[in-house]
Amino acid sequence: MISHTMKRYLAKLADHLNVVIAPDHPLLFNGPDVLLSLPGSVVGLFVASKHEISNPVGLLVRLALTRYAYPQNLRCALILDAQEKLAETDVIRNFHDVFKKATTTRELVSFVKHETANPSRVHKIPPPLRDAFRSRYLSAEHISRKNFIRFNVGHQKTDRIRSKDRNGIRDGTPLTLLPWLESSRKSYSTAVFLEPQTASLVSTVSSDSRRKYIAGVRKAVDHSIRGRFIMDYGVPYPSSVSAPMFLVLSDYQPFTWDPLKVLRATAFVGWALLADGSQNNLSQESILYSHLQGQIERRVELLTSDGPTDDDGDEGE
Amino acid sequence: MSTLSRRLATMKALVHSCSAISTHPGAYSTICSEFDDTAKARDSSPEARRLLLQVLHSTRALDTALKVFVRFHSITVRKPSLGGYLHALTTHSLAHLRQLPQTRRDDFQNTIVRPRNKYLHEAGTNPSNHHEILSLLSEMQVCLIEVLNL
Repeated sequence: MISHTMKRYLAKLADHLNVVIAPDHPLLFNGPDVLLSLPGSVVGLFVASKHEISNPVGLLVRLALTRYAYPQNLRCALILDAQEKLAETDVIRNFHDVFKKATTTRELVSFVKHETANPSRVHKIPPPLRDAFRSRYLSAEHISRKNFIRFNVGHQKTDRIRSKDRNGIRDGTPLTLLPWLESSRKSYSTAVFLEPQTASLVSTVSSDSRRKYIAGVRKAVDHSIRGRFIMDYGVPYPSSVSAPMFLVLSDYQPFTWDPLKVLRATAFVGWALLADGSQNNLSQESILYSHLQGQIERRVELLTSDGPTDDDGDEGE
Repeated sequence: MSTLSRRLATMKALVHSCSAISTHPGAYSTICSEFDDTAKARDSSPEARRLLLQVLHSTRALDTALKVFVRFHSITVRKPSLGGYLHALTTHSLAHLRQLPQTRRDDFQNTIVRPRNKYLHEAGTNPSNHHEILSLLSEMQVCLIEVLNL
């Protein structure tokens, strides 16, 4: 959250730069706090929340996802209070630059214009890492869309799209939550569980209220993503082989300005959405998830190794 | 600032930061005007007209951005249309620019090009509700971001 003091400071920058406070990216729940742009240049400013100052993992996760979601020319800068503990940690080496809140407008404008005197040691994300991250996102998104797309695009007139109204996937068997998961979720509403048969991670989000629903989705995303990356000079390396992940929703509640935001932002961190009580089979979906991920990765490998293909497909208009 | 305005402001910043577009005379301001008109269309009525206007302005922003992008990179386009630009971005052989994966091109063909063509070219077709159009607009935004990411 940007303070009033910070907003006044940013207002001064607006004379020199294009300033976007709290930018909204279609793939991210949480990204940079501010975007500053000039022709050919864009900077994401991060202001650590109190929680992120005491536990910087959250800040690094926000940085990692931002670097995967935004174009590669995005540079990331951290804004710190003079006495902030983060200044003495390794966290700051993952940002292109760090500025004190008292930084002059001229310094920041100069940074956005690439006129910084201290070139950053932050590296670009290597293409294979980008491709692997992307293949996971697309696999999860494909499954989520298969389950929910008919309701997102114009078949319902209400804001709340209930899973019980949807047409089931015909070739599956009903997804009845396993007894251990059913009993566990009563006490841990947003915990993430390992499903033993398919080695998938499963979480559930109920939706008694819209506020709880959004908080539940975000918590599940946070749970799963922490520990997924090892940051090395701004490059988010995956820390382990990731299992398929399924987020079981009791219904799909779209954001009013972007009905697909929940679907995309959860898929971006690897969650495929399933409808609670619907005709999805966890084993089949898990196999499909892994299959899609492998298929997309192979296509990307072919693309990068064999050059362009001679495709005469329909170009449409 | 409303959430839709923040989304469109984010899109404008990303277009601004893309040298291929921002160095083209007039392209950035033209694309921004279309994003602004997408937001302004919220005040139009009845709903069917509002939704069609949003599709129109949003697709003009996307079409123009892709056209300028492929021209900047001197990519040969067989057909100057949204589908044609996506095809060209999938099949080009430039070493300094990654190709748009075929799977994504297919996705965008289904989620953007076909519904957009239906609404803009077929008389009497109107979106059934605002979810459908807001989804289409967000697909266009994702498409533009993916191209800027190549």
